[in-house]
Amino acid sequence: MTNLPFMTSNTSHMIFRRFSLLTVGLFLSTAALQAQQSGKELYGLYCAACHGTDGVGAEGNPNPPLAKSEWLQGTPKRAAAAVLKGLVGPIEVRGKMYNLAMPPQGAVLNDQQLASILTYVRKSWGNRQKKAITSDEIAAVRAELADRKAPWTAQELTKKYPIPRNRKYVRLNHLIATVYHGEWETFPDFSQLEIVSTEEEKRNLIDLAHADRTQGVGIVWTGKIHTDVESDFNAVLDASDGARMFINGEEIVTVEGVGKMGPERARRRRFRMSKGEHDFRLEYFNRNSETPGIVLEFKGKRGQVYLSESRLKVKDTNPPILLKPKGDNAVIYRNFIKGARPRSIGVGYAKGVNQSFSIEKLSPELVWTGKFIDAGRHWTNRGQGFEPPAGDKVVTLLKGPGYALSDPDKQLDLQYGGYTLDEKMQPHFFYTVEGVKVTDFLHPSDSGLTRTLTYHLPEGVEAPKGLRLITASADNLSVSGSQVTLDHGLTIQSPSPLSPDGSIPLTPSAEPTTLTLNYSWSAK
Amino acid sequence: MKTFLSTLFVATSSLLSVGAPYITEQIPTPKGEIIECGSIALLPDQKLAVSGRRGDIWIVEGAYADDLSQVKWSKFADGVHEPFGMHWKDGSLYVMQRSEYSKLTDTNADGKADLFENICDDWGVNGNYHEYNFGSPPDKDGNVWSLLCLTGSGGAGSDWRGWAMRITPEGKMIPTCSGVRSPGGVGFNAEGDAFYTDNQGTWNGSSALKWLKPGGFMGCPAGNKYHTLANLPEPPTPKDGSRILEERKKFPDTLIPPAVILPHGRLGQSPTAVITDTTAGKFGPFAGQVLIGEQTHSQVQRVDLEMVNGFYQGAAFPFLKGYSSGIVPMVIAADGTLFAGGTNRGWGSRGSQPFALERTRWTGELPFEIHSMKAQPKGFKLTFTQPVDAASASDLKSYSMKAWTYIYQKSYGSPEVDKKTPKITKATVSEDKLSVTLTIKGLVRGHVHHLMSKGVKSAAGAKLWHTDAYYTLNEIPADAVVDAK
Repeated sequence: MTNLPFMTSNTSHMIFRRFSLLTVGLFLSTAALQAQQSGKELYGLYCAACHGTDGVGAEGNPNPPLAKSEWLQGTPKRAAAAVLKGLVGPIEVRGKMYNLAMPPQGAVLNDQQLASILTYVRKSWGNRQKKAITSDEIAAVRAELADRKAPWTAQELTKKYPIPRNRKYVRLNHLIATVYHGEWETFPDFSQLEIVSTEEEKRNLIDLAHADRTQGVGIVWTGKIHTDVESDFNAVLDASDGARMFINGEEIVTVEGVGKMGPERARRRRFRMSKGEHDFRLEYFNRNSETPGIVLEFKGKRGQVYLSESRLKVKDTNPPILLKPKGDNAVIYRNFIKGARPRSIGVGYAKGVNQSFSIEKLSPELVWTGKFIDAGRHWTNRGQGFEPPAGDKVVTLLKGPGYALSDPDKQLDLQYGGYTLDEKMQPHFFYTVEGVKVTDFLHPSDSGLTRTLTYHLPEGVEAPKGLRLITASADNLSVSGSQVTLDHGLTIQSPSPLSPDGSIPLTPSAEPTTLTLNYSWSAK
Repeated sequence: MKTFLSTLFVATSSLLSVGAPYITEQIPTPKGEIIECGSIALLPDQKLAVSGRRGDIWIVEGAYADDLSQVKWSKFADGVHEPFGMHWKDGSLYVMQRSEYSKLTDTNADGKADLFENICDDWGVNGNYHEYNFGSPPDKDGNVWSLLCLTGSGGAGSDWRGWAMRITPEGKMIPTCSGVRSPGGVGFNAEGDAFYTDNQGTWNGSSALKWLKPGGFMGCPAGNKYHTLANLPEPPTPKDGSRILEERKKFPDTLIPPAVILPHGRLGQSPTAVITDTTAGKFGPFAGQVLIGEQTHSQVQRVDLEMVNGFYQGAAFPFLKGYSSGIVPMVIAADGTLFAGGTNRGWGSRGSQPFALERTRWTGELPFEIHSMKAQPKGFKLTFTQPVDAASASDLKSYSMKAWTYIYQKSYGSPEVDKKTPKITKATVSEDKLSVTLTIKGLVRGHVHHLMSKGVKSAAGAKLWHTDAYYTLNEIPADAVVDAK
């Protein structure tokens, strides 16, 4: 251990464990154990950095655990396929959402190596799959997937290699669905109603598939609920319209009346269930909801289990990080904003007005009111994608550049220079258009935003012919006098009459000239 | 709480490092702030600038002090686009943003930048998360290098993706090298030549340190098509499933082989920062050598470079480990303090903290270590940091060697292939006991040569701090290096 002087207590523990296990391995020499050791070593080399030497990793590890993972149950092909081709996008493991990309390892690991790793992983850390995986099995998966180039999504992988559901520590058995017709606003006495059909739920999961119509229908499921351990459970029930669950005749949790699914109507109830089998009954009806559904989730000692085919709507994996102006100070967000070009600078001003300034168009491109932007998408995991403005009344101002020349075929020379920040942290952009120096400053007004532009023709620069500022070039644009009207009642007011296309002719001179535009959302 | 934790950390690391050659300490970050380190710049008066991936830039005071609980952080700027690469020059902070190379200045001296000038933004950005941009400090000509990561893992969806650019102080962009895949950092060796780390993936069997020879092709053809944007010659199109050595025969001048391969899994798996120990001994016995950050394994690797037949090559050694997060940027200050910044958002790391700023210093304890490993016509010459025990160092049983290479292919990564076992036939200890010449039968040009020196002891009886060395033998020198006696 003298070779490891910089370890934190955390890593030293990890390495110690590994060291002692390897030492034990040295005294065992059967072929099987050698293969096992090799799987462990290979796991340490290729997998442990992300998934942890213990199959979990440190608290808060952003990578999914392999210990006690439902993804390792049943066919080994699922795990082999994932390692060979990689896996991207959201994935739920042990009731928690993860969203990272695993690079494909098919070109790195040969069949024997992957077989050793999977054998090791599938029998370690509570995965309890003792059967060794052979290199032939891996070779078969490799051949079967030879044409596949793209990494898997979790959905594709489970579709091809379903996860067995019989290992749940709490599960439904002998589940029968009885279907009724009627339009109810609350639970009817099902025993008094005529039965439309009675069906066996072969997967022993609550599912609306047996309903012969989506509206004016009721279903009662009866059967047994079995738990392997005595535990306190949190049962979460969500339905559209109503549903209620009974265990041993006792009403446990109820979603009343009619309405949509979602956190407002979903109900949670804590109760205790002893080990073994109990009577189960679940009643459901839908009067006329166009989005019928039912979800039943149990959370207990050994984690979360769904007893329904559908699952609770997956929470956005990016926690919201709402950026707000601080007092009078503006806040700047330079990242990918939906509806704006990739090179854009978002600015959230005091008084609830916002813009995204396009560095490619040299103009505000989007303006909106209310909340500025949620940085959660870009500040969580790898930060993929464009984030829409968080507020309201989002108006796209421009399809093309913010300037034009009389000769439409001439390529405009636009040079973005940068910005200065004033005492309210508001950016004053500066740039050149055909050599004309421009400053472009937006700040909040009582009804929206005021944009102040200055134009200055430097010495030795020829005044560009027919230079115009394009106030807007959106689809729903109407021009009247000195005013442009856009979506959401947004108007742009110019000090002088506008051209029919909403542009303003510019005649820059050596003496700086100022142009002020007012962007207002009409109060409705 | 943060202060308490960091104190605890220092205490722990001090305990563990009795007699250790290096000490790593965590520099506390301000409570409640999430600073996912993307770059570090050295400022005058022992200040640092640190940028976070969320677009925040901070000035840090007190990071050199003995008492790190007094460290002061102040916000310099916000709203910068995912910067990776920063340096300070003439009162301004130069920042390599994802979408722009910028000059940030505090014109009214209130401690916050108020002037953000665009120096150059002539490359494409399309919104894909993978289009990172890593910037260097100025090179010997004053130009800054910009390494434009591919779009996604293997595509090139916007202009100049997969290229290395130089940006002049006037803001002119010079397309300089093609063939880049997924860089993690860019810097210079002691001679001032530019190097970057490229990560295992398409056309990269293993991660490696690569020499950015102007005009050179770094190996991944995904971005080749952009040569037409500047009338440059078309970069090579290598054959899928080949070997680097084979393809070099077809493109002898343009295909620049990886200078030093960092064998995937064995010596990290996500290399990042490239810096050179320029402190002339203040950071220990490895002055002039290159240090490489490692994100996944939370380590620092050490590289000894040499040029043979016009190409860089050399040895990589494990060096420092146990950092608290995944290392991305590193800088080394003139006093011998190495600053390393960490983040593991999106890519996991052995160090379990989501982010960290740490410093490492040499304690003055001289580790017994292979200082350098140089190629010889018939073997390698090892130089040690301390005199060796002649008996163990000349015993052939003290050493073993394996060699392999990687498939040069479009698929992601590669297994170790074409495995060989070169035979060490003689180990000759120099008169001063500081070097050993290994005579080897079966050197393989193009292969990584993994030398294990488990039995070698110092004259004082110490074992080697690290026994593994990985030499990438692009070229075998024809003439023996004359021993200075």
